[in-house]
Parts: sequence; structure tokens; C-alpha cells
Amino acid sequence: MTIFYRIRALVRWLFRRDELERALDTDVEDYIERSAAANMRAGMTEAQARRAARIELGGVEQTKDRVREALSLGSVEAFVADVGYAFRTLRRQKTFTVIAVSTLALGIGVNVALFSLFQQLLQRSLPVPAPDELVNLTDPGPKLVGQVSTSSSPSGGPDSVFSYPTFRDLERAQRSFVGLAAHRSFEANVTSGQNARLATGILVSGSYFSVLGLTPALGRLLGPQDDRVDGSAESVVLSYAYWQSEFASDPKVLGRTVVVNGVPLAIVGVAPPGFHGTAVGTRASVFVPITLHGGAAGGPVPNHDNRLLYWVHLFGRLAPGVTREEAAAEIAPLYRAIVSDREAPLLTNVSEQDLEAFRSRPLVLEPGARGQTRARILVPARRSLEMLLAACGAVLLLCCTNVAGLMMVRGAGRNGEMAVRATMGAARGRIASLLLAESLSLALPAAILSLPVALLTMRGIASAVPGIPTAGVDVELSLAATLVAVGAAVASALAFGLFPLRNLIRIDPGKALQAYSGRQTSSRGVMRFRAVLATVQIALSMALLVMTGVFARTLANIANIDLRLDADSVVMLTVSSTGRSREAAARLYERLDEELEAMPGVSAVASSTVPLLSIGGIEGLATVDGLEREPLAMSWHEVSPEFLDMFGIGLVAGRGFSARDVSQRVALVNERFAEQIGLGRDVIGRRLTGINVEIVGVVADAKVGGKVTGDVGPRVFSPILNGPTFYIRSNRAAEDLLNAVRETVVRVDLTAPITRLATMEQQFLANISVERFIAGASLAFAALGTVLAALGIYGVLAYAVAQRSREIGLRFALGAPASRIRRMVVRQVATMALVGLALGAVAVLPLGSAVRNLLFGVEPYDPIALAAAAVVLMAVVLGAAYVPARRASRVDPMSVLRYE
Amino acid sequence: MPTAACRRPPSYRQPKSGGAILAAMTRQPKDSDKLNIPQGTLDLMILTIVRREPMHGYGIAQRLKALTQGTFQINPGSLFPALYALERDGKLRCEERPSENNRPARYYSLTAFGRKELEQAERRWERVTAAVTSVLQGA
Repeated sequence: MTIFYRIRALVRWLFRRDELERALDTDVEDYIERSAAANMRAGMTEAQARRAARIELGGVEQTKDRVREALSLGSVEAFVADVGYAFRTLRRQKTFTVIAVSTLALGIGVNVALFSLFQQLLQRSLPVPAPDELVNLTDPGPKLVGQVSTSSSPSGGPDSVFSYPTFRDLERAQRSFVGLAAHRSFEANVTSGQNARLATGILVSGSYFSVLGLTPALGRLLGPQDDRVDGSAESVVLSYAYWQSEFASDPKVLGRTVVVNGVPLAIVGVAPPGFHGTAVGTRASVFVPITLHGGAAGGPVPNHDNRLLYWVHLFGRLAPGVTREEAAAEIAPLYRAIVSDREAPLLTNVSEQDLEAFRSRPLVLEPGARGQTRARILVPARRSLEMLLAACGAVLLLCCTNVAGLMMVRGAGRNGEMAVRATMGAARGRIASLLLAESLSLALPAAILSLPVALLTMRGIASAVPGIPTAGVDVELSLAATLVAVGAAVASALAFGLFPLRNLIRIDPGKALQAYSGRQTSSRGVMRFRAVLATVQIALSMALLVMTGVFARTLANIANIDLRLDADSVVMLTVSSTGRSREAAARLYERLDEELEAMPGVSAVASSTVPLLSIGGIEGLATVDGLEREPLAMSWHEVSPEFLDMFGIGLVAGRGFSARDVSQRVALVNERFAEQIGLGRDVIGRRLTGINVEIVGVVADAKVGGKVTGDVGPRVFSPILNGPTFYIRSNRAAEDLLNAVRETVVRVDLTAPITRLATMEQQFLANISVERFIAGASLAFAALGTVLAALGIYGVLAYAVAQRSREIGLRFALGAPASRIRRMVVRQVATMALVGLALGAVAVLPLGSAVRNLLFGVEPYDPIALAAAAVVLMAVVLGAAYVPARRASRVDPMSVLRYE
Repeated sequence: MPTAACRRPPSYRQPKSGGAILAAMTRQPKDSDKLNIPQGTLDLMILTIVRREPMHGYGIAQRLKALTQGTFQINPGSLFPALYALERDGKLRCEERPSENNRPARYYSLTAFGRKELEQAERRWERVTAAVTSVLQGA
């Protein structure tokens, strides 16, 4: 009860203070009126009566003070009142507040974003009960001997795959685990009602969900009844996210049929929210029994009979009380028996030595709390994230120092205020509390603002950073991330609040009062430290600005690249044939080809297997018969006969493709191929060694694949009827054409998923996404760095001016013109700027060599970029110096000297 | 005289009995025979005064003066802090209405909670005074 009233009183005291004061006024006034009236009745004059009334009361203000004191709640209330005071002060100083809060919000935001990504990708345990009990099974020994083959997946490389019969043997024999589970991701063409989608699916054993210990969000999860018969699957479980996005969280979805790679499966349940499978960095949408018949997933798996084809990933949950070591000791002999008694006898033509090594492979158990992934995928991501995280930590530190600098500028002007407070008997604790309240009133709004910053940063990173597997990343802020934001805010409040605090608390009230605006209140060490810091920031932004310039030039150069092909007003379309037989796929593409050509306004349609301007492709070695030379590295392009004409890739010699060539073993090569193989035009008529394909013509070099910044390499073109990727040329507007193409595909086959539909410009931009990302990132960092440097310089100079205002006033009084005073201030920044620029120019060297192979047509030490960066930075630095310099030139000598 | 006693401040005298305690409490400047008000008693008196009808600050002060017949020294300056604390704690409520000469005035009255408090305190006070009285009379 009392607590409730106290809180209410506190709230009222803080937020309805006006009301309280009004009540006090009314009460006191009323008292005096009545008392005076009584006194007058007793014969006093009005003035006497009023005076007597006030004396009786014990003083008006004193009475009010005693009431205020009686209602106060001690130090907590004092602190909250300080926060209120700080808020009011900060609201008056809008510019300062906006700069400080946005600086901090930026600094905290990028850190929260990086932390979230880091945690999600690298540290998060699977969202299952007791994840520490999970272990991954691996077999790092030599296995690629004889007829053995492995099929790796994003969940793991050759060391972590087993054959399906081995999994079943182990599952039956083991005793140390609650259960063993097998899984394998695959590309799934999921057709449900109205549309077809290409999604990631996971083949899972019946034990998968029970070993993980998951409970369904809807219906049931897959169980032992679902994987009894090899080659037959009837049920499917959807991921929660897929259920939300594709079925609008419809609870009536149970029992409906979806077609996965041509196999109709009944939806039996929905996995719990947040669970996307056990492969780190992939996001599974459907969970299908591992007994799905072979061929349905495309490629060699699933295969349920071949002991020498390794393809399933295994994990298990340790039985209660069993350690990983005990489980390993128990399962090792079981595994060895399977390998040597069942697998090894199947090998033929293998040396005794290899066979022995094969038999004695150990089974290794590894911690499985985080699921399974290929080190190859995560190691680079970890490295780049760690670097980014370190960079962002440094950024936050700079933000804090700069805000501290700004606060010191304010603090310098407030030495007087603090001195007065101290002389009036304010304890150091009270002054510290006030300053801390101010720091927190800056940091906490910054923490709130940092969350949208973090969200945007994450979205940017997730869509742009190459090399980070973003498929499994939820672009959302966890509770942990929010806590980190608040923690970072409080920590930085302490960090930047500390500086001025140290300074102000050390003030000797007497001296400071005498000198009032402070003769030498800041230590020289602090000033020097901040000057060095500002210089380092200039150097950093110099380096980043140079990088930005270099990348801007790279992008400009890339935009001017002559691809030597005509891709204007062309859109491209890729339709997946996942889950279809070869014949069905051919039929689909043939119909698509016809329908696309029949579209109004379409002038040409061509197709290829590898999409034009895609970075990957089919690479190989080739040579021609009758040549005694090393085979030539080349890329292989399967294109429809219309392809070369459509893109204006001219014939240099021989003949082009005709419709008849599709069934013939003929090929075209580009000039580079002809030249590098050493035959020139004589290459026509030769046959490619080993595949019996005759070269019938030579075409011009054009950048049809690979990075557009690379050279045109040797290429071989082979004719196909039509491929999964179509090119449609039309005079219709791009948006209109894209929609029309989409409708056509749906009309032709509802179950055919579109995996790519874009204009050639978009494809071109995708081709240079790494360059664009780096350019964008360096621009962002350079902008951030420059703003911080400007803030740093402003802080240092403004502080110095505030400190020296007496000296400046004296100079004015002695007749120095304003221009000289301005020069004096600017001279101070000139040293910092010059040293910073020089250091930054040097720092470009290591940065430049790190990104050299991302540059195009420009050297990392580009003089234009250097000059431009220097000019921009000088302008910013002078701009930052202008305000304090102007302030210095407007110092009023009289008002400053009056304090003497 | 023991040496320890010499270090005592000259004005300090060790009370010997209950009577001495009372004597110490009443030891005031000679020109006054008023008592310092015991802690918490003021609250109790305020609550009693406003029990019958809502009253303004001046009225309460006058009533206090009249009721205690000048026994207690109550500065109006210490009346208001007590009034506001009681209002904050929910024992008093306050209503603003125009006074006789049309200025706004604040009238204090008892809340249900205040009434309960008062009744409890009265019982407690009766027990304490009874006990103290019996001790004093028995001694």
C-alpha cells in the first residue's frame, strides 16, 4: 500500500510538479490571507498583518521547501529528478542532442546488427531441448578408394557422410544413444494448389524429430511410421515459416497434398517456429521422409541400397548419463565391424594397403549442439564477421570518444555551474549523479534508435554481403540483441560520461569560482590525447575516402565495359526442371519456347543452359585431335541455335548453328580458343578430343559468362534445342514484359518453378554484386568515418576555444583583428589535418593491396581518388573548424575580461 | 568524580529515572513552557481535527492551537509538510474550492484509509498512554 502511494507520489512529484507547486501556492496564500485578516481584526494595519502572518508561517519559501523536502524520496528521486533536468537541458540544446544521439545510435546500431548475425550464424544452438546432448557422427578416415563415392551437401563435406544401409545398421545396433537420425538437404520443387516454388527440403529419417525432441506446432511430426519402406514416402512436414508464407498459417492445411518433385505427399504437421532444419546456414521449408524414392530428388540421392555411396549425415542424442567418450567407445567397434565386414568385401581392384586403411577408419563423435555445417562455408563467414565486428567495436569506441568530446565542450562552459554547485555544498556524488543522468539521457534514446539502425544494417548485410550464408538468417532482433543494445548504451554512457566527470569532479570549487570560466581546468594530457584521436580519425577517413573513390572509379569503369554483345531490351527467365524426368523436362522447355515466341511484341527467343553473365558455369579442359599440347582450360556453353544471333555475337569464320545442328555433334569456338590452341582459323574442321565433336566455326569474343571484369577466356559453344534459361527480346516495357512472361509460364505449367526472371541490366548488376557491395560498404564506412572525424575535430577545437576564451579576449583587447584569431584556431586544425591526411595516404597501401583484385581499370593508389579524398576531407575539416573559429572571433573581450 | 565524567559535555546529564526522562523532554528555554511535539502525534492530531468536516490549512492550525491550549509548539511551517505527506500517503484528500472571499482554498478531509489509520492509532495511543500512566503511577 505504502509502496503504491510512494510510487504515485514520485510520479506526481516528477511529472505533475506544476500541480504540486500550484497547490502549495494556494495553501500558503490562503493561510497568509486568513491569518492576516485575523491580525487585522486584532487591530493591525494591513502591511503589519501580512508581515506577522508570514512570520507566523515561518517564511513562505522556507515552508514550501520543507514540504518539498518532506515529499522527496532521497537519492533515487534525486537521480530521477536529475534525469528530468538533463532531458530538459538536452531539449534546449537541440543540435548537440541530435548529433550526440544519432552518433551513438549509429555506433550502437551497427554493433547490434553484427552481434545478431554473429550469434545467429556462429553461436546459436539448435532451438531444441538440451542441444548439448546432440552429437554429430563423422568419419574423417580415407574412404575414396575403389568404387566408393561420396556426395557432400551444405551440411558437411566427405567426412560427414555415410551410406544409407550403414545408417540403418548403426541405428539397430547402437545402445548409447536415445536415437540416431539421418538427414540430407535437397532442392525441392514444391507444388501446392496455385503455384510452384523451388525450396530447400530435408530428407529425414523417422527418428529425426524425436531425437531432436521437438513438438509440432500443428498436427504431428514425422515418426517411425513414415520411413518404414525404402523407396516410398507419403507424408510431409512443413516448416513454420513456410506454413506462414505459403499457406497463410491455415490450420486446415493438414491432410492436403503437396507435390514434392513429382511425388504427392500429405501434409501431416508443421514444425515448431524458429526451426529451420539442422544444417547451419540453410533454411529448410519441407521435411520429407528419407525413404523418398531415388531419382525424385534429382541426382544420385536418395539411394537406399548402395553401401558404397555415402550421402546421409548422421547425428544422435546421447542416452541419459552417457558421455560423448563412452558413446564413442561403444559405437566404434560396431562401426568398424560394418565397414570391414559389409563395406570392404564389396571393393574390387583395391590394394591391400588401401583396403587396410579403409577398414580401420575410426568413427568420431563431435559436439552437435549447433547442428551440422561445412567448415568451408562458415570459416570465411566467421572471419569476415569477426573483422566487421572488430571494426564496428572500434566505430562505437570512436562514437563514444566523440560524444565525450562534445560533452567536454559543454562541460567547459559549465565549470562555473559545477563550481557553484560544489560551493553550495553539492556532494561529489550529486554532481556525478547529475552527469551520469545526462549521459544516460543521451544513451537510452540512442539505444532505442539503434534498433531500427540495426535492422536496416542487418537487412543490408543479409542482402549484400557476399560469402555470408544468409539463407538461415532471420532478419529480426532477438531479445539478446536488444539487451546488447541497452548494455552497449549504458557502457558507452559510462565511457563518455567518465571523461567530463573526471575533469569536473577534480575542480577545486574555490579556484574554479575565482576563475569562473576556468583558467587551466583541463589537463594537457587529455587535450593531447584527443588531438591524437582526431588525427587518427582523419587518417582513417582519408583511407576510407580513397577506397571509396577507387571503387567509384571501378564501378564507373565497369559500367563502361564493352561486353561485345547486344543485350538491350532482353529479359531472361530460368525455369527449374527439378523433380522431372529428362523427357518431361524437354517437353516443358519445348512448350515454353513455343509459347514465349508466340507472345505479342516478342521478336526473338533464345535459350542456354548456363545463364548469360552468371559467374559460375561449366568449366573444363579441352584440346583438339592431332595436337600435341596440354589441354586448354575453357568454359562450355550450351546454347540454342538462335542464341548467337540474338546477342549479336558475330561469326568470324566457318558457319554458325542451324536448327539441324541440335542433334549433331558439332561446336563453335571463340577466337580466343582458336588463338590459344594455336591453330587460328584452321581449328575449323578439327574434333574436340575425347567427345567426338567437330568444330564448325569461330565466333567473336564476347563476355557471355564469368565476371564481366575478367578477360574473355576460351569458350566452346555446343548446340541445344532449348535450355532451362530463356532470353526474350521485345520492344515492350521491361515491367510489362516481365509480368507477361510470368503469366505465360504459369499458363504453360503451373508446377514449373521460376527460379530467375530479370532484365539483363539486373543480371549485369548481379554479376558485379561484390564490387557494388564493397563500393557501398566503403562509402558507408567512409561517410561514417568522415562524420566522426568532423565531430572529433569540432570537439577538440570548440573545447580549446572555450578553454582559451580569456586569452582570446585579451588578444582582442590588445588589438588583434578577428581574422588573426580565426587563423590561430584554424592553424591548430591544420597540423592535425596534414598529419592525418599523410597517415591516411599511407594506410591506403595495405588496404589497397587487399582489394586489388576487386578493382577494375584503376590502381589502388589512384592519384585522382587520393586528390579527391584530400579535397573532400579538407573541406569537411575546415567546415568542422569553422564553427569554433567563428565563435573564437566573436568572443567579447569585455565579458571575458570582466571575470578577472 | 570519575575522570570519565569530566569528558562529558557540560550540558549533558545522565537521566536517572523515568521522571528524569520527562524532565529532559521538557527542558526547554526558560521563557517557554511549551512541549516539543512527540513524533507522529502531529499526524494523529491533524487526522482528528479533520475527522468532522473538511478544513483548510489555517483552520487546522487554529484548531491545533486551541485544542492543545498552547501545550505544544506547532509552527504552521511544520503543519504543511505533515499535511502534504498525509495527502501523499492517501490518508487525507484535498479539494479545491473558492473560499468566503472568492480566492481558491484547499480543504482537507479524511479518506477511508485515513479513518482506519486514525482508529487504529487511537487504540494504540490509548494502550500506550494507559501503560505509561500505570508505570508512572506505579513508580
